[in-house]
Amino acid sequence: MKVSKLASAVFAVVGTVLLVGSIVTGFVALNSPTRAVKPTQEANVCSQSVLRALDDGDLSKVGEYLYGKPSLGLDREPATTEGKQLWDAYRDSIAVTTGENCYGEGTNIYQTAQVTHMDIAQTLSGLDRRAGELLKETLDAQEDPAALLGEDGQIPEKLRQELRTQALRDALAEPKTVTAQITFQLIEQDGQWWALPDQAMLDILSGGLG
Amino acid sequence: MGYKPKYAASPRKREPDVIRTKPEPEKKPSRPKKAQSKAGRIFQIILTVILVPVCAFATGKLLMDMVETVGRPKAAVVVKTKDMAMLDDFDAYVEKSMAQADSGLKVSHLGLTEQTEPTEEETEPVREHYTIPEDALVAPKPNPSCYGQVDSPAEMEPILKKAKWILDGQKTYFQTNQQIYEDSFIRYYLDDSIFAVTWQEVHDDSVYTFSEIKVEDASQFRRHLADGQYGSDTQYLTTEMAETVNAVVASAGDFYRFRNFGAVVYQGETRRVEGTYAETCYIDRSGDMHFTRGGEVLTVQDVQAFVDEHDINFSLAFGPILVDNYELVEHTWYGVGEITEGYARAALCQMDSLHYIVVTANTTGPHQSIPTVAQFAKNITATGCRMAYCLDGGQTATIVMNNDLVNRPVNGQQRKMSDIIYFATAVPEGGTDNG
Repeated sequence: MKVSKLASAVFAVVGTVLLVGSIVTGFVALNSPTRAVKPTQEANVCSQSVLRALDDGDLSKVGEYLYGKPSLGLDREPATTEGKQLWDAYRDSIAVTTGENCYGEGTNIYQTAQVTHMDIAQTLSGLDRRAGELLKETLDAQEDPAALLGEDGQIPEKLRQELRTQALRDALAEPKTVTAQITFQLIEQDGQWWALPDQAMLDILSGGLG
Repeated sequence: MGYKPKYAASPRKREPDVIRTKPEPEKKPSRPKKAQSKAGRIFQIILTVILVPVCAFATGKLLMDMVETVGRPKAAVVVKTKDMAMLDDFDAYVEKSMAQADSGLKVSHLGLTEQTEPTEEETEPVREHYTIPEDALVAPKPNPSCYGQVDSPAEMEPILKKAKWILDGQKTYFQTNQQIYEDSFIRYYLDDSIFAVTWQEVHDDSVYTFSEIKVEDASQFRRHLADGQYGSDTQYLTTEMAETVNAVVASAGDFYRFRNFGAVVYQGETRRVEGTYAETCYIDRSGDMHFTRGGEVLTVQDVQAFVDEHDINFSLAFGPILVDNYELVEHTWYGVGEITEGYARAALCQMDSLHYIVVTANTTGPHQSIPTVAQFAKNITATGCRMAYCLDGGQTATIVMNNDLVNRPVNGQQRKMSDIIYFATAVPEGGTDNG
């Protein structure tokens, strides 16, 4: 058989196969379920960095990984000594557990983790009662409790401050914790990966207060 | 003498024998063959050996790209996190807590008595517990003055404070730092028996409408079928049915009349059981959600036994189950609801005892994505709910509060349907004003 005829035959067969293949592939693609995007190594590195910063309690560093670099107001210390004490205790209480790397769903990549942290509201509930108990103990320890009062017959501010601080310290010694699940999305922009937090993660960054 | 006729033929000369053969066809003069040059031959080989594989490869690559593009939906628009002053809020909270601690430091301690001045909690008024009779077809009318709306989550703080007693220590998914959909506002209702707050958020470029409800009694979580009876063929809009029964918040149900699917239980009685793979949700008389999975209950008798065992009031037959005892439930397939495609979605969630969220996901404004069930479930779990179950989605997905449609249904219009679930006040006079 001549080479030219052989070549023609081959082209014809290949062309037919490609035509049929493209039609079949098109139908299959239209009816097939969405395939999830696969997370890259860089996405995993970003998500692990976020979780590590969260676990370390370095919340301002977590903010640096957030998409759009929002200003969260976490780059300063709390205004009062009690606030600083509480904030430090809260950050120390954050513990992150994650069983898996980030995963793809549709066109998005997510990371899920369990975060246990101090429930500030529950921990501080009854602070007034504890302060009252401390005041009573202080007064009971005095021979003349009235000597503790100021000229106006009220408890001096310095004593109040001490009692409040001690009540807070006692509450922080037995913190109540809560576990929440966070799921944040990972987004790539200009070659860099960022985290888009969910409401649960924002709650944790803000101290879990509501 | 011989006879010779006149016209006898003269003897012909015998022609010599000739072998007759077919005439040969005329031969066309053949063109002289061009001698193929070496260069031409080489060129032909190169063309065949190189061009064919290259074309085949390029076509294959094009096909793969086509499959890739068709098989993957467009990425959703991403909304950046808003700027926040988290430590400012924290400082404010600490100041409030320290002021609260200060309130425990009373001069009355000087008397060395163990009595302390009563705290705000101790002076809470004793509140009556209201119940809606089981046979009541409609609930008491809500008090119009108990409804309200605010523009920002922070403005809900005094309302949440007033609702503290009805929340009974339970935490809400709604927080005062909630990130709401910027073109929306927050609605609420609070009286002596029910607290409801409704708002919208954006997730994965889809607008989610949440309505979080806490009731005092299980009788306030109710189901209404069209015309107040099982099997009616008439259909109504969700807003119409919500107004008929005096709902504070209502959601479209499972559209039980549209399809024969799952176990339908109403007023403690099993009415219909269809489909071996259906996952059904049941609400008991304490207001708690229960589930049966595909294949677990296949007959009316099986379902009724389950109903009797768990004191079930009514069921919802759509699904699938999204969350079961805080665990996300994954599905690769389900008989209804096109779970792997983007679709408007609706769900009922239980947060805690007598504490619920109804939620829908729709396209609204610039946000034109709608989730698969997997995406929907992922965002539902962020609420921290204990149980969650899909209701009929698509154009049926609707949430109504104060007889107003809150979410934007598919095509901007409600669809008439056969049933709703709703939450109502139990206060007979229509709610005491807590506003």
